[in-house]
Formats: sequence, C-alpha cells, structure tokens
Amino acid sequence: MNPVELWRERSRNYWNEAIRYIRLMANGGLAIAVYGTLLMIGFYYQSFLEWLPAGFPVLLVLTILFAFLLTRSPVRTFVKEGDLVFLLPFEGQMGPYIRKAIVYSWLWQGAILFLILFLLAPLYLDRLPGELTALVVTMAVLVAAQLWNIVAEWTEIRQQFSAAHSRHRWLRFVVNVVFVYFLLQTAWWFAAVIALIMLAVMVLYYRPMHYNHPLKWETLIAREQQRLHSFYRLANAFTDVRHVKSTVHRRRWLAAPFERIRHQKANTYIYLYGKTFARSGDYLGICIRLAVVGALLIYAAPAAWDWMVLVVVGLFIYMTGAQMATIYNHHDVLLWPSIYPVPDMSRRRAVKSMVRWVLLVQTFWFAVITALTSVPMIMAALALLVGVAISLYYSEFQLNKYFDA
Amino acid sequence: MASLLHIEDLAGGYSPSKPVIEEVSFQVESGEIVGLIGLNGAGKSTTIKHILGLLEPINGTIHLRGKTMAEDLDSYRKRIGFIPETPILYEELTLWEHLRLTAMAYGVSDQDWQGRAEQLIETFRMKKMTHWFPSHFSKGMRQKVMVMCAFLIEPELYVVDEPFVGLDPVGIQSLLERMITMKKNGAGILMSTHILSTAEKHCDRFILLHQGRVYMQGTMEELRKQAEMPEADLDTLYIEMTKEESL
Repeated sequence: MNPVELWRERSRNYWNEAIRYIRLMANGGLAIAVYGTLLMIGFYYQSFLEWLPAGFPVLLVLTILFAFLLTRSPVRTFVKEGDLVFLLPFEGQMGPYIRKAIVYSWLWQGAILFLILFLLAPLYLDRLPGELTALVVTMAVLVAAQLWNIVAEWTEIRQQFSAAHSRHRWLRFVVNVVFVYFLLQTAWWFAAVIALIMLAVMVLYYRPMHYNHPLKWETLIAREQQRLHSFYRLANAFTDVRHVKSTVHRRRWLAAPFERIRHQKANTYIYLYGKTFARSGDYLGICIRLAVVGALLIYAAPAAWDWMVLVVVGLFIYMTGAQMATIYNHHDVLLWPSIYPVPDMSRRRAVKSMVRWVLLVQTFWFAVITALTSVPMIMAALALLVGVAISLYYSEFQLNKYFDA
Repeated sequence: MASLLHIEDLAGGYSPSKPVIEEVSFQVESGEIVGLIGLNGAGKSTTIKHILGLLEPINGTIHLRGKTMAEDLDSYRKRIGFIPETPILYEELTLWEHLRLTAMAYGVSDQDWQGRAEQLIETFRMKKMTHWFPSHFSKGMRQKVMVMCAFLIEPELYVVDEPFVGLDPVGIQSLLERMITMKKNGAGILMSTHILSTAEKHCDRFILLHQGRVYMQGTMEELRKQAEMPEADLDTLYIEMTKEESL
C-alpha cells in the first residue's frame, strides 16, 4: 500500500462528490445567496465603516475572531469507517499520508484566514495602528500560526479522553488570544516572544505527547464523519441530499390540521405529504429560510430601484417552488406508493395543491413585508399579483414538467 | 369462481436474456396458507415482486380472481396485502398514522378502520407506542407495524415475506393466530419463509423453488410421495432438494 497514492485517491473521491453537490447547490440557490451576500457587502461596507462608532472595540472583536479561527484547526483526514479494520495494521507507515493531510488542512484553513483578513482589511487600516506593510506581515504570521495550531490539534487528539481535548483547546485559545492581540497592535517584540514560547511548547510538550500516544482512529473517524455530515447538511439546505436523514419533529400545530381531512381514498396523499411537510426537517426549514432571506432583500432594496422588490418576490417564490417540488420524490425509496391502489393522478394532485398553498402563503408574507417598507403601496399590491401569478404557474405547469422529468 | 391467485408459466426477473425465474406455475385458493420455500436466491422475492406488480412478466401471466393487473389496476392492488421482509416505514408518521394512511389508501371506511386498528394494537401489544415515530421502534416493533397494516385492510390475498424474523415469540404467536383466523374467514395467504418447522405446522401446501423453477409442489403427503421419502419432514425434503445441483 502506498500512503501517498491512497491520500490522492481519497481526496480526489471526496472532491468529485463535493463538486457534484456544489453544482447542485448552485442550481438550488447557492449562487444567488452568494451573489446576494457579496452585493450586500459591497453596498453597505463603506457606510458600515462610517456608521461604526469610534468607541467600538475593533481590536477586541478581531482578536477573538482570529484566535477562534486559529484554535479550531480541524485536520481533514478522509478516513473511513472501514479503515479501523484495514488501515490499522499500516499505522506505522501512515506518516506520508498524515503529512499530506496536515498540509492540505493548513492550506485550506490558511486560505480561509487570508480571505477573512482580506475582507476586513479596510477595517484594519481604518481603526488599528498598522499600515499596509503591517497588514501583510500580520497575514503571513497568522497563516504560519495556523500551522502551529493544526499540528498541536493533531497531537492533542491522540489523547484518549475528550476532556483532555477540550482542556487543551481552551489553553490554546488563551495563547492565541494573547498572540493575536499583540500582533494586531503591531507590538512585534511581544508577539515574537509569544511565538518563541509557542515553538518551545511544540518541541518540549507536544513532541513527547506525539510519541507517547498512538493514533486514536475512532476519534478521527468520528470527527471526519461529523465534518462530512456538516457539509451534507449545508448542501441539504440548497438541494436534496438523500443520505442525510433529517430529524423528524412532531410539530403538532402544523401536523394536526391534516388529521382532520376527510377519510377517503382521494385524500391519501394529501395526508401523507401534509404530514411529511409538517414534520420533515427538509421542507418547512427551507421555506422559512427563503422567507427570511427574501424579506431581508426586499427590506434592503434601494429606494431608487423599487421594482427590484418584484424581481425578488418572483425569484423567491420560484425558488420556494423548486424546493417544495422535491417532496414528490420524498418517499420514493419506500415501496408503498408504488403498490397502493391509488391512481398516480391523485398523488400528483396532492403535491400540486400542497405546493400551491405553500407558495401562496409565501407570497402573502412577502407582500406584507413589502407593505411595511417605505416603497409605495402600489408595489405591495404588484408584489402580491406577481407572487400569486408565479405560484399558480409553478404549481400547475412547472410541476408537470418536474413529474415527467 | 376463478382461483384467487393463478400464476401460469411465469418467467421473470430484471433482464429478458437472464430470467431469474422460469416456468413458474402455481395457485393460491381462498382459505389456504401456501408456503413458498427455497434457498436464498431461489427466486422467492422475484416471484413476490411479480405478484405485487413491481416487475412485468417476461413471459406468462398472473391472474387475481381471473383478472390481470393490466385489466384492472386498482382492484388488483386492493386485493393484496403485503408484509415485506424488511419493514418499510414512513419516518414522518406515527404508528397510528401509518394505520390511518393505509386505511385511506385501501379504501377501508372511517367506521371500520379505527375499531380494527385498536384491536390490532391490543393484540400486538403496541398500545404504549401508538403515537411514537418509527425512529424509536426496535426492529421487531417495526415488523409489527407492517403486520398490523396488512391485517388492517383485510385483503383477499396476503403476500407475506419472511414474517417471523425479528418478532418476539408472543408476536409470532399473535401473527400465526391472526393468519389462521383470516384463512378461516376466506383469505388466501402466500408466505415465504425459512422457518421450516413453523411452515410445516401451519401451511396447507408448499411450493419448493430451486434455481428459479418450481422443484415440487403440493401438500406434505404429495411432496413425500414425489420424493419417495414417506417419513421425511419438510427439513429433510428441503435439504434433499438443495443437493440437486444445477438441473
């Protein structure tokens, strides 16, 4: 077994899958969310800086932010459950694999750190003592400190007990706070002293720890799965990830009304999809998220471009529809719908009326929000009109296309 | 009256060039329990999928009370109650809601279903779990939900795939008692199982499938006669069949 080869294969497999999901997410509204956020930042950044009171503790906030980013230094290992059986005998030869994992994680975390500091650069130059050169040096030093943290974290999780893990994390957080605090004030000498202490700790404390504890495979696997799961959950917010079992909530207030529908064959799927919508983590959550983001965008629409409101309403109703449509396939892995003596037409009708109702409620919500903002009242009426039109169009025609696809 | 279930010269599976089952013919009549017996991979599940209409026959026909599925889809499906080998549940529905959904789908009237449901819950000792979600059920409880859904609709034909796995002894007893009651009321039951001693005790006839074909079928007496083993029990006959390598 060649550990470097194995690493390449594992990371390639992961990225192949991740890219597929990212593509799906882009279709499912991620692109719009990212553009929206960037636009908002672009619009408001300058005025935000001007608005930020002089007394705001910029130094403290940035110190804690970066200390936090440094302290959480997860190592992506791409290990799998089966490794517990198959890779365990090769632990002694895993060195190159692990080095790859550490470098990979460093590059990623470093890039994130860089990006955040880059975004915060105007704030840094405006409120902190450092000039451009100091900013560049700070950036480089922070990225280097990230490597120290990653190696430290990697060593710490060789210990058996999670209490030891969190104790070390807290200590490391304190060290990082002090270090970043000096760094951001361009107190170079103090920072250098802390850096020396950190290096000494690495050699005198972490090295022996590394040799005294073997790898804890179960911890690694648990962490890896946690990380994968959080990626899938994120992806699940935009698209449909099958193997993420979303938790079921009772939500009596929303599920109970469907108990009162008439007991007849034609209502079978209204009952099933109604309860599914009410209780599954997938649908209600997405509708609410889209409702909140849409409302924020309506609220933020610049007064000169009040027609933007209509675009936002149309777009978000459509997006809500696209997310709701997937409820049609929600139970497809189960056998029952394919053997029930209920015509398929009645299943489609049930989905159509479900989606129609959800979209109309969403439309009403957006119209109310529009009415509450400063745009003319006529815009709220138009928003209602646009929303209703798209709701009806989507649930009647677009869904047919979805069913036949 | 036409046979309850009549399978004639059925060939089926996932690819026409490599059928999983071939020349399968048998009947299930009202008021009998028929055991479908065979090794893993003998074609039991494929046969069941064809009866449920999840697969289309490559050759041959399946009639339910004289009608194929194509002739009358909804009444065909309405006549069959299915208990799958591994429980298939809606994670979003409670036990009670599973029963109600099934009642709706199979057109059991509002007057009838609640009484039946309460009785089934009583019999299978699930009172405490009536409003639980499946995520809190053990394997055996999940299987009980499947059993209860099938008995709730009181179909003419029960298709039961390995029903005993995962059930506790009390559950197995209740299931057998129910099946016998339904049989007396005129239902037909086709049951696939590996628990041969139970099958021998409760089935009226047997269909032994081997490598996709019917190896023998009939009552215990008829099987013994065909195998020329007058004293043999079902276990022995079964082992004898598996010794027969590719025919």
